[in-house]
Amino acid sequence: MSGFFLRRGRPLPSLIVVLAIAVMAGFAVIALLAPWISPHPPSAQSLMMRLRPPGTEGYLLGTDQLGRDVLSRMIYGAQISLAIGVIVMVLTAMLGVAIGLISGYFGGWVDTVIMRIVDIWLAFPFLVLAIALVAVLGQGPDKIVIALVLSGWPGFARPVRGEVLQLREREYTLSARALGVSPFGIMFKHLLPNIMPTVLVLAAIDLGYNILALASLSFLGLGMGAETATWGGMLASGRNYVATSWWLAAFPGIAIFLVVMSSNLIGDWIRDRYDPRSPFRAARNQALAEARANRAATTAKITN
Amino acid sequence: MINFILHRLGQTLIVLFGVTVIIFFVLRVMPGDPVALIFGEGDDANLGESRLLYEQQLGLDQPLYIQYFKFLGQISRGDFGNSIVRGGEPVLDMVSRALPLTLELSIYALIIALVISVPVAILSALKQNTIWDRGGTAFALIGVSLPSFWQGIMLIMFFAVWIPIFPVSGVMGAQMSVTRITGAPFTDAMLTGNWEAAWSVLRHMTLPAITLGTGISGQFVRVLRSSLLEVKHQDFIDAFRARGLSEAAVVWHMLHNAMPTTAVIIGLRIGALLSGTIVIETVFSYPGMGFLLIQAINARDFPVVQGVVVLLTAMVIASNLLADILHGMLDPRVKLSGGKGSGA
Repeated sequence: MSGFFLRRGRPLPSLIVVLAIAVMAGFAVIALLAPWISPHPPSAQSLMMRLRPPGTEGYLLGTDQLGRDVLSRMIYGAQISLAIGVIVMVLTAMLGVAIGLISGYFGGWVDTVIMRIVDIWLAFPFLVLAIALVAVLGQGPDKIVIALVLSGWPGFARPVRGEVLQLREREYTLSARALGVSPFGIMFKHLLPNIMPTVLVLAAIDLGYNILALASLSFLGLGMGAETATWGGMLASGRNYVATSWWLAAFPGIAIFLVVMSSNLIGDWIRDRYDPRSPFRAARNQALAEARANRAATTAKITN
Repeated sequence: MINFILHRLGQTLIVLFGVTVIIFFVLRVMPGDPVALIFGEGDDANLGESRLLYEQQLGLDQPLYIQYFKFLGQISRGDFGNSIVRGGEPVLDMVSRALPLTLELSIYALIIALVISVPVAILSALKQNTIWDRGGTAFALIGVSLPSFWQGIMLIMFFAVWIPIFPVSGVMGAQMSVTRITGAPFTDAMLTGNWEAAWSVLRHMTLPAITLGTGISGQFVRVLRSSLLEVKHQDFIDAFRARGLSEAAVVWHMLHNAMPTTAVIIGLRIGALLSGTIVIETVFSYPGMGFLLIQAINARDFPVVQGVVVLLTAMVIASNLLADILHGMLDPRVKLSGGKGSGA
């Protein structure tokens, strides 16, 4: 496989994945340093400086219809997007993994009931459920987190349960049980570490989805309220000015796109690296095996 | 086959039942007080007797489970209640006006997605690990990562504002009208032979359909490419080549074998397609189901929200069921007994 340099049997990330990690890290640093690096307060209005194009003195990315600095709002938007994305990812993973572990380990009617609930949950289109929940719960960061976690947990529960079903019958699980380890001890001490790769892959891709979902919700006006600077909210108000001020809608969209794409790339890379059943991994293993066989054949030819 | 279909139908009914339970409890119990929503939260909130009367009228004085079964009885008869806001218009009427628009837009988007993704996937799979393949996978990645609402705004900017080829929003030109037969404007215009209106509708739908289509074509490319790659190295393909079949015929056979998986994925993506329409209809002010949902939420018109969510979800469930049955019919390897371990 070109693009992969093998070291200790595991591929180093290709250039594009390095770029994706750099983009994510860059946004994370920007989000953390927001109060220090943003040139203006995100809500500071200036009626003298309305709708100035990018490159205006002191306003690198221009200003919006209320004279607020687009760059500063983007920086604070990064803070909110990443914070909510990560919090939702962690909470969804915790809830989903716990439910998946219980369902897979106990089996029987517990499993049947939980999996039926998962089926029902997955029948809802993700965004429709999230929108309905936000509509009911109201606006605000905490409400958004609850809505997204409640919509997203089956995405973790089902794959985790499938994994646990297999691990449950392994010798180490059986011997732990024979030694009298409690069910929860087995689940969290012995099974959890073994399903971590799956959880990691799901989490990496989930982060991108969460950020996209948050942007969609705030674009629809169901996010944080009009005052808070969010990428989706900036896009929504920028939409009304596409004819005259392209920069209002263009920049936040690029930011969302970069973060979501990086998250997808990183997720794919982690899956290639850790998941032995991934088709990419399987294809690479096959290629490696063929290469090894070829080498063996050539060596055999030379020695004969 | 009959057993399989009956089994899946049974599962679907259970899911449908669960979905109504969740929607009922989410929308009735969590917001607290629907009457307060209607009466407002000011000093008038407790109007004593009139409030009680209204509660009785809505059946809110009865226990929850009775309310639920009443609700279930009503929606199974197609009665989704009346809008609180729009002069008490029945929700069913509002939905039946919006649904054909969304369906037509979705079908147009699906056609665009297939037209883009099938050639890209074939090229990508046949020329694996070449620059074509890289281009194809990059396209798929960009397709799944692009925020559709942003893409929509950018398309409006380029093709409606800077180079005004397409209209910005709406369904058809303001001065036009179409005799209503099915409610779907393009179909109606074609049926009545109103070519001018049909052309106008098509032009209005093009930008939203492209936005929706490129998003899902990214996923289609990924699925179709990997199932084509799986087929590509099988013996029967080599056998076809050895028999001297033309390359086009070989590709046709490969596609034929990759179809079941792809058909199922398309069926399972209908949910994403419909979710996508919510955002995109808002971007283009296209008065379909998604636009209706967002308007109803902003107006706190909960019966409408409830009706739209129930119907959208029911449509997703139905299309998942269809996809499953289709898969069983197209791919004889699928166990039709519907036993355990299918995982779906």
